[in-house]
Amino acid sequence: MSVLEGRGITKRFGGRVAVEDVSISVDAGAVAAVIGPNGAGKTTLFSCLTGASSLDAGAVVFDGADVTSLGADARARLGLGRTFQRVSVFGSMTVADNLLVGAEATRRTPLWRGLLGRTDPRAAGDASRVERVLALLDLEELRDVEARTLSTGRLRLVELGRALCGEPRVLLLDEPASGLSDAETEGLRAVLRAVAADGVGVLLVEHDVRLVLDVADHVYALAQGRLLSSGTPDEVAADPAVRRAYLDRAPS
Amino acid sequence: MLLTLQLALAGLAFGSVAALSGIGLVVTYRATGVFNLAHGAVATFIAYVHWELVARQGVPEVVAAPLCVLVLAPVLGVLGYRAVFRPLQQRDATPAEALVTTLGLFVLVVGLTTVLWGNSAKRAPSVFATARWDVGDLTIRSDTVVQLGVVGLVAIVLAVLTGPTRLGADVRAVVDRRELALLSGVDVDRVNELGWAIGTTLSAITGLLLAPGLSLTPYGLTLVVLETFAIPVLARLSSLGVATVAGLALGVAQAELSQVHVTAEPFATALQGLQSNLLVVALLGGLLLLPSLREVGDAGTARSFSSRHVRRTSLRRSALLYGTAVVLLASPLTYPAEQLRQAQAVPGLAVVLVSIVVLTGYGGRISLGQAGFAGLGALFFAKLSTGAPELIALVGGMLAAGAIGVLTGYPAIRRRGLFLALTTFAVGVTVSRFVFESPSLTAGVDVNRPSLFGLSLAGDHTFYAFELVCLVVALLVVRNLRSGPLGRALVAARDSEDGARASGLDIGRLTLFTFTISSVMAGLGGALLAQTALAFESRAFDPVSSSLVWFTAVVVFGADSAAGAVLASGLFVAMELLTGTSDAALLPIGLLAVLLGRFPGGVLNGLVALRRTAPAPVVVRQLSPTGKALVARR
Repeated sequence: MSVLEGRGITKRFGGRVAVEDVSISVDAGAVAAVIGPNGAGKTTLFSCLTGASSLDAGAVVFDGADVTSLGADARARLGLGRTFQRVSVFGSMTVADNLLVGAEATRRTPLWRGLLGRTDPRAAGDASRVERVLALLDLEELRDVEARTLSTGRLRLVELGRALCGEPRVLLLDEPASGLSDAETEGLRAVLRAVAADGVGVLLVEHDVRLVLDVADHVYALAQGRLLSSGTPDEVAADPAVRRAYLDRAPS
Repeated sequence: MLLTLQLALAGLAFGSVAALSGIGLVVTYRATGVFNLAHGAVATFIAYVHWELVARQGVPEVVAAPLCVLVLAPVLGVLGYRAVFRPLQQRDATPAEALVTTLGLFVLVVGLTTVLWGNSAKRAPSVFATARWDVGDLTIRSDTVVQLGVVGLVAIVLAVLTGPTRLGADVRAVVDRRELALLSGVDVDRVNELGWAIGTTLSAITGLLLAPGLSLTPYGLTLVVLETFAIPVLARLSSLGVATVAGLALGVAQAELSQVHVTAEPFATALQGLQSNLLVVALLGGLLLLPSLREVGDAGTARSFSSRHVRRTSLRRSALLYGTAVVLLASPLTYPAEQLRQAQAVPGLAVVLVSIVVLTGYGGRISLGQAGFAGLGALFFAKLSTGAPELIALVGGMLAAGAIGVLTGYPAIRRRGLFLALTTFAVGVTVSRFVFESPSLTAGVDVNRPSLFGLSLAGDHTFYAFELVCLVVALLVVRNLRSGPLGRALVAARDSEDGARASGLDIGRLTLFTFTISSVMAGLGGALLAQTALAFESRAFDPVSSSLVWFTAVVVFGADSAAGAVLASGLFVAMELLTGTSDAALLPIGLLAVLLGRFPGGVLNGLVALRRTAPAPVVVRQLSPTGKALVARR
C-alpha cells in the first residue's frame, strides 16, 4: 500500500527543466530508492516530495491526502521524516536533545503553554521513544555529547534518529551513506531494514549503488530530469538504458 | 518653475552628499563584506576633528580639510580593519558578528566623541567659501557645484577601481569567495584595506560637507548619515550607479516636497512627516518592497554571538547567582527616597534589555529597533495612565508595543542577518519619527503612577518594589523560554532552520512568537521607564542613542544571558550616576563590543570560558596543503 506518492512532478528553474513528469511511489514497509547520475534531478525531486520546494506541475499525495500545498514543517507533522545531504542537526544540543526535538516537534502545541511552563500531557512517551531510538542506532554512549563535536557519520545517525523519533510513516533519506565508513554503512543497512520491517516506508536518494541494489525493494532511475526506468533492483540494473546512462559510467 | 529649479538645486546639494555616503557604504560592503553601521559615527568624529582644527586651533582650511579627508580618514579605516576586522575574518566569524562589531565601533566612536568634545552643539565651519552666481533669476551656490563635482569624481575613480582592471577583478574575487581568493594569490588584506580606506574617506567627506548645515552634536549628524542607509538599500548593496542616482533623486525629491501643500487632515500631518523624513520612508519602503539584498556570503542568524553551549548550571550555582542578584536589586529599598529614585531606572531598563535577549539570544534574530517598542509601551501607558488603573494602562502599553512587534515579525520570517537588522532599525526610526516626534501625539503627555488594585504606587518605595515584581515576571518568562519543549524548539530553530522545519517546527510561527514576546516585554520596560521619569521623552527612546546602544550592550554582556542584561542595565544607571552623563557607559561598552572578536559569546561567557579547563573547540580550516603553505607565507 502506497504511503507517499509523487504524481507527474515537474519542476523548472527559470527555463531549465530540473524534473519533468516524474511519478514515484513509496510503499509502507518497503524501501524504495532513486538513483541517477549527477544533475539527474534527484535532489530536486526529493525537495518536491518533502515540501522544501514548490512544484510547477504535479501532486504529492501522502497517505491518500493531497499535501502539495503544505510546507515542509506541516508534512513533517503528518509523518514525513527526512534527513539532509548536508547534515542539519542542532549543533549546540546534546544528541539526546536532538532526538527529543524530533519527538516533540511533530506535535503542534500552543506556544503559550510553554511560556507558562506547563507541560504537554502527550509528552509522556517522548523519553522512552528517544531511548529506544538511541538503542536502535547504537548512540546510547553519546547521549549527552554536544552534537557539534561529532563526526559526519555519527551526525548522519543523529539526524536519522531525530527523524525516527517523530514516528514517521515515511522516511526520506538524502545520501544517507555519504561520509560513512564501511562499518557505519553496514550498520545503516541493518537500521533501514529494521525501520522498514516496522511498517515505515523508506525512500533513499543514494550514490552508493551497492547499498541501493542490496537494500531497496524498488528502484527508480532518473536521467536528465526524467524517469528512465523503474522496477526491482535486478530489473533496473539490467535495463540497457540505465546501464548506458548511469551504471557504466559510475561502476562502484 | 523657478522655485522648482531652485529647490532642485538645493536638493542636488544634499543629494550629492547623501549619494557619497551611500557609495561609501556600498564600496566598503562589496570589498570587505562588512556593512559599516559606524559610518555615521566616523563621519561625525572627523567633522569634530575638523572643527577642532579650524575653529579652535586656527589651522587654515587648505590644510585642515585635506588632512581630515585624505590622511586621517583612510588611516582610521586601515587601522580599524587591522585591529578589529582582520582578526574577525581570520577567525571565520559570521557576517552577523562583523555587523555587531561595527555597532561596537559605532558606540566606541560616539563615546570617544562625547568624551573629547562633550554634548553641546558646535557650529561647524564650511569647507568651501560659498559664492553665489545669479543666472537670470536663478541663484547657483558654489558649494552645490563643488559637491556635484566631488560625486562625479568619486564615481569615476570607483568605476575604474572596480572595473575591468586587475584590482577590480581582485575586489570581486575577494567579495565572492574570500577563501578562494586567498588560495589564488589575491592580496586579500590589500583589497580589504582599500575598501575600508575608501569607505572612511567618503564618510569623512560626508561629515565635513553636512556638518555646516546642521549644528554639530555627537548624535545629530550621526543620525543624518544613518538615514542615508536608504541609498545602499535602494542600490541593493551592489550597484554604485544606482546608489548615485538614488542619492541625487532622493535629495531632489525631498526638496521638491516642500512645495506641496495639503490642508486636509490626516494627509497634512502625513505630508509633514514625509517632508522631513523622506529618507527614512525610502529606507523602510526599500527594505519591505525590494527583493532581498545582494548580501555577501551566508547571511546567517545571530547564533554565532549567542552562547555556543547549552549551559547546564548547577542548582547551587544558580541559587547563589540569583540570590546575589535579588539582594543587590532589592537593596535600594532600604535607601531614602532621593537615592532610591536614582535606582528606579534599573528594573525598567533591565526589562527592555532582557527583551533583546529573548529576540537575539534565544530567537537568533538581530533587532536594532527595540527602543521603538519600548517607546510605544511608554507612550500608550502614559496616555492611559491619567484615567485607567495601573494594570490596564500597563497592558495597553504592552499591547501597543506588541502590535508593532507582530508587524515587524512578519518580514522577519524570511529575513536574516543584515537585511533583518536594517529592517528592524528602519522600523525603529520610523516609529520614532512618525510617532514619538509627532507633536500631536506626544505634546503635553502626562505620566501618572496609577494605583494597583487600590495600592498607590505614587510612593517611590512601593513603585520600586512593583518594578522588581515586573522584572521577576519577565525573568520567569525568559526562564520558560529556555527550558522544556519550547526552549528546545527555539534553540533548534536557531541552530538549523532546515533541520527544525524537517522536524515539524513552524519557523514562521516561532519567529512571530518571539517577536511578540520580545516587543510586549520591551513595552512593559518602556512603561516602567516612563513612570520612573514621570514623563514621556522621545529622546529616551531614540533609535540611535537607545536602540543601537542597548543592543550592543546586550551582546557585550552575552546575547543569551538574561543575567548579563540585568547587569548591563545596572552599569548604564551606575555610570550615569557617577559621571552625570548618560553617555559615560559608551566607551567601555564600545570597547568591549569591538573586542567581541576575541570574546565570542560576550564578556560573561568569555570569563566563564577562561575558567573552563576543557580546551576550546578547535576550528579546523579546510585548506589544502598548498593553501596552508600560502596562509603560512602570509
